[in-house]
Amino acid sequence: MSLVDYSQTAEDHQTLLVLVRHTGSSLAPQSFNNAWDHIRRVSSVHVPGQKRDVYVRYKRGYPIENNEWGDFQAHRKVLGLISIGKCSSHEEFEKLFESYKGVKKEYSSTIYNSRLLVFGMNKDGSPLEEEPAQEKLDNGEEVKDGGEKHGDNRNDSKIVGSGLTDQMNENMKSVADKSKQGKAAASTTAEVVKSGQQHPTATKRSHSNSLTKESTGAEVVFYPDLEHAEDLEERLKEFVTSLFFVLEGKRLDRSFERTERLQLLCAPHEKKVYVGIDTDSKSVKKKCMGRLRKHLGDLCLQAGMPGEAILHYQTGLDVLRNLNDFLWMAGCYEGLSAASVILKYPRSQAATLKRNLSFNVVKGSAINIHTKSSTYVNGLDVPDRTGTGVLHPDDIIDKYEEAIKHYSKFKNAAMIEMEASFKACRVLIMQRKYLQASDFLQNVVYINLTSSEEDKINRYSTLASLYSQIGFQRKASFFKRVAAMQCVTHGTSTGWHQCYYLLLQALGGYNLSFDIKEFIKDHANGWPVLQFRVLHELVYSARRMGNPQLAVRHMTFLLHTMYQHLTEEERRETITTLEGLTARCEGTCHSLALENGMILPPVALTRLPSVKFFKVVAPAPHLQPVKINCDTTSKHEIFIYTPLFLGEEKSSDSPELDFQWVEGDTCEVQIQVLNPLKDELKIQYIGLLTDGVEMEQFPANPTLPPESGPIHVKLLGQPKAAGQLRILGYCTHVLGVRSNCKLKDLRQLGHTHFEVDVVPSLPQVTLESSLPKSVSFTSVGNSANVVSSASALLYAGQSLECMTTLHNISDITVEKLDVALTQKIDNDFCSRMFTWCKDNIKSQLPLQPANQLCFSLCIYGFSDFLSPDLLSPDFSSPCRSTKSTRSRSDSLDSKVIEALLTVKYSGGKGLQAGYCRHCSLALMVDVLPSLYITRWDVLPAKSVDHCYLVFDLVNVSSHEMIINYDTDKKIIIEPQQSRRLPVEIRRQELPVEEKPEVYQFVSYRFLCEPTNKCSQLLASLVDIRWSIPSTKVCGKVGIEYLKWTKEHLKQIQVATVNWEVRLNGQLYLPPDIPAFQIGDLVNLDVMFRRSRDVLDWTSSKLSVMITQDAPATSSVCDISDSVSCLGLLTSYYRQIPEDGFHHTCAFIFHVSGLFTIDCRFSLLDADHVVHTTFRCLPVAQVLVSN
Amino acid sequence: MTTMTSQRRLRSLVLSRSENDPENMSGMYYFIIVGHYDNPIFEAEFNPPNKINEPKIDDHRHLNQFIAHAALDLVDEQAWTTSNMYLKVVDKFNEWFVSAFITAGRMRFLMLHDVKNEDGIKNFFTEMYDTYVKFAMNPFYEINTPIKSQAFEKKAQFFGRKYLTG
Repeated sequence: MSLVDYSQTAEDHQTLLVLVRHTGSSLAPQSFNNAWDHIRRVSSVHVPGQKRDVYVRYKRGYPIENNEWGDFQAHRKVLGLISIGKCSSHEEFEKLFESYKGVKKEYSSTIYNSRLLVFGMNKDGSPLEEEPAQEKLDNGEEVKDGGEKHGDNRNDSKIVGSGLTDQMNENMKSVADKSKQGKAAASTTAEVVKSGQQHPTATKRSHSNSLTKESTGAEVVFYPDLEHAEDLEERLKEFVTSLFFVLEGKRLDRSFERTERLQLLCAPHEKKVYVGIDTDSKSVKKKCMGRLRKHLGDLCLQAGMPGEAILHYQTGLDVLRNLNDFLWMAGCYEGLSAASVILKYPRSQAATLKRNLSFNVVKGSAINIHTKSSTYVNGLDVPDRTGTGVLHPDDIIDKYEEAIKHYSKFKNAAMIEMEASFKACRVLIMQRKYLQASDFLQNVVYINLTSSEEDKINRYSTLASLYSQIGFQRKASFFKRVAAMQCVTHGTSTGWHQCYYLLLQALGGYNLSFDIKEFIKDHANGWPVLQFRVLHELVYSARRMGNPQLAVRHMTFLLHTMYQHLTEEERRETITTLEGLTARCEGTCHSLALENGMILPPVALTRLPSVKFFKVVAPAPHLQPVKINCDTTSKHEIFIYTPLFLGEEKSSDSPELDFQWVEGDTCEVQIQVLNPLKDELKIQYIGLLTDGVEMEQFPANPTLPPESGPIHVKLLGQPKAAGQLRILGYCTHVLGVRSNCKLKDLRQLGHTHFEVDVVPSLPQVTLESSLPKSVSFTSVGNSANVVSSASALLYAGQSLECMTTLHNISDITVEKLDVALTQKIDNDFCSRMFTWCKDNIKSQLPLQPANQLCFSLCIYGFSDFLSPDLLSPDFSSPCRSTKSTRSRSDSLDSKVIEALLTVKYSGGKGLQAGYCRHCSLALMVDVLPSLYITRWDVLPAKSVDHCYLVFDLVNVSSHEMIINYDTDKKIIIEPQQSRRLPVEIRRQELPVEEKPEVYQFVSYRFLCEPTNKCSQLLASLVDIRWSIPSTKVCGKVGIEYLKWTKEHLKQIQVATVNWEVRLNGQLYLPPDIPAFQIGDLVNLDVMFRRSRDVLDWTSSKLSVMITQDAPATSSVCDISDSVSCLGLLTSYYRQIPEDGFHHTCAFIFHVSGLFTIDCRFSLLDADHVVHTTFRCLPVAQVLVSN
Repeated sequence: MTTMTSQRRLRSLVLSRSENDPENMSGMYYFIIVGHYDNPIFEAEFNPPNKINEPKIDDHRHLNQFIAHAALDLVDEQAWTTSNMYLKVVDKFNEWFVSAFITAGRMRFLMLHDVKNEDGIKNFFTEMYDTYVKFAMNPFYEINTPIKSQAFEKKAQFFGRKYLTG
């Protein structure tokens, strides 16, 4: 069966076909390939002295059937043979040579010349010796040595057989003067040809006879190995030149002109037809002539004379046209086209011979390094180019069409037709006529050629590659896929491998790319049904190929990318298939490299499950690290607005996180996952994908119900070091596939990554108190870090002590600990309510792991003890002096005080980094009212030094209450009962108020601040304690919030001067008014004393005035009739004794009525003018009756 | 060129379905609108009235789609050679001819058919173009997305009966 050469081009018409064969079994395929690569480089040879280039086409295999077409188209003829083999001994060589001869015989009908390349022997044909150094040298002496050695070898081989030695001898000679021999070979063959001319019967095949003679001459070449084959190139050149000369000889052979020797050239299938035909008929002769002309054209083309070839073709065409010899006409057309192409489009690309540096080029080598000489690359002389008959580019295609049309008439010429189509297509590609090229390609599909599967695969692959060359990617993919399908029609296992790689090449045309980012676009991309099918085929072929990993990867890709295009049923099916695949081989999240160097990037299953929400969660407030030195509560930053746009706006790649994580703590990321499937989805693993800091994962494995709404999943992890942690995404293990889902690929989440600062490890403590926990707690300030709570119920004035315990539950020592109190109300207020001992705490530090720290907290039921009734500014109240007010909101019976006891603690590395933690105890204290002070007043005591503070107390508790005061006095107040309580105090020097009272109606808050110094002073003097026997509680009444009027204070204050008025020896005590009878003698004894040394006692006077208060008359009237005065009413003093003085006088009242005795003490200046007067108050009054 | 490629068929393709009697095959039409990104937008099949009840071969439609997809290269290339919207037969594969029509908005109408019916297909394309343009005017329809409209399908079937199978 003839094989189609799918790579043939129009230029190949110009080439000499040389078969390169692998001979014998000892040559490794790799070495053969290396040699083949070397040989292949010698593709064009310049013939010395001819100004022509000869092109060679090498083939490693060539069917005899194809060779038979050689008469039809000369470039199909194998002209030369190079066999490559390896041997290490003469016996092996013999075998090699036999096999070489066998091959040569096969192609003997067409071969002009042949070579046998033998590796593994010295250049002179002797087996390799142990010392390879010697063989490398080609100095005279060494060679001689070598010669002697070979002589020995020859002796050895003589023992084996003399026939061989003879041959070897000749071979060695040939090696010795190879160049001469080369020429000789050529000349001998030429001679043979010439001799052939003389004997017409043996014209064509004469030179093959040389085989039988075994006078192989330069046919065998020995090399130790390829590296030492420096002159291989030279040899090949010689070989090709020899071929050329034979060809040239044939071309110049004009014997065909003699009609008696006419021979009918036939295509293989024609041979039977023409058997026994009358060769003498005119038409047959003409046919012979025409075909020979065509053949001559072929030879000219091969010999590097396309111009001449065109002429021959045209002549041949003219002859054959009349004879309707369509096949050969088609041959002429094709030849014409090929020659024109060669002339029109010189192969410039041939100039870029890839030179291998290891391939030594001897100076003057015949490999054509194209110069700007008169010779073109195609071996054509410049004048030749202007030759007539060159076809126009469009005509070339017309001729090809013509040729193909004729070829198609012959079923046997299908191979020729197909190749012609490909050639025409390639020419069109060169001409950039893609649409026409596609027409030729389409024709190929319809050529009916029975061929092997492999051939079909080749055909479709070639079609595909040509389609892709003309930019028809979709067509190319179509045929790639067809080729892939062809690979597996007969279920060969190797086919799947080939099928897979062909399918891979088909992906481009279906817009499939394994890069997800490239593939998933905003718009539709490609034909989903076809993509689905191709991917399915890819999965199947990968599986059959025995690479489940690839199958899993492709299946994952299919599921991920095709998801929205699939029906419910298909999804289910796909998932089942994927699970089936992953059951055997788990899907990885790494890139896979294919044999052809392609990289399959990992596919992250971000749709299964899909994540709708991704939040990095701050640690619990009481575990959050806080900078020790930074005051977080007050951030007074200056706000400056600028319309300028300074720098790039920071994109939302990585959002600012206003918290830190702590090394060694379990940290959390919250995500919401959705299961879009109609079936339950089991996530075997879902964890965080992090970078920067090592992190221990605590993965979750939730199972999502069908078509679930968002489900919260916590991804936990523990940073193992301090530093900046980058959260890049999450990893999942779903359906047996591991995926790394990166946030940057999940645009719906809005961020590419998160960056969290991880601070060094900090200790962790628990906080508890001995008090019962409170039921509720309304937030006070920053109450988020509350870890525990305590509640207490106190009566106003009661005190309580509770034990607070800190337990270090971490393995880091607490080195620093601060306790502070924060409260809604004033700090001063709560510092009165809550107290603790700081030194006690300090003494217990440092707190070792698993140890406890205890301190007691004292709580005092603080109250102002003012009755809510006093709130309204009720001036008509019995006690006008109390003008306190309170806001209505506080008029509840009990008051709730809330406060936070905040503990700041730190230790270990975290402390060094300046971080601490806060935790708080919420304190809720219910303060019940115990007693209210409803009124208060000041009364003078019996002694002038003393006075009474009088309080009206109401028991507002529901229990009987015992009040202790004045150290030993005790009264009992029943609930709701009011009792007056006099407390005697010494009169005091009162401090001066710094600021006057401004507010008439003070707020409660103001009230709470005992800024009034007098009140405070008085409070310190009064000690009233209460106790409730039934509940066994006791407390204290504080009076620091009572306000005292000026009158009150005057009474309390120690006076500047002291008056003592005695009537008839009785001390006058207001408000009692002593009564006398008319005519009674009333002795007045006024005692005056200064109590403080504040006055400048100079001259002074003391005067007593007596007046009668007559209700009807004016207050001042002449009283000389109604009272008689005995003694002086006024007395003057130069000096006052230190202890004061007495002034005595007496009165006798004549009428009844109320009399007022007004005593005044005046200080006089030098002119006896009064400048200061003291008056005895209250003024003494006397009632006189009949 | 068309004379050159006579009516020979490739029989050995893997994808080609089992050899059917050409008589039995005649008169089948497969119509598809292809969007700008080689994405199918609308598909319809028209069978002659006597074969409507035949069970469909599953592979059948896939094959049609593969052929239609591969023909897009030729459609795109030939679009440059003419100013006509109707490109006539642009490609063929096995028994299928591919006729094409390009709208002003460069939507590609393809028709796979196994009998020649140049005028009928041309009329069908023109009518479908009309229908498509009207449909595309719908502000709720986004260009290049699949057409899911019963009215559109009915129209297509109607024109199919009128110009192709009827």
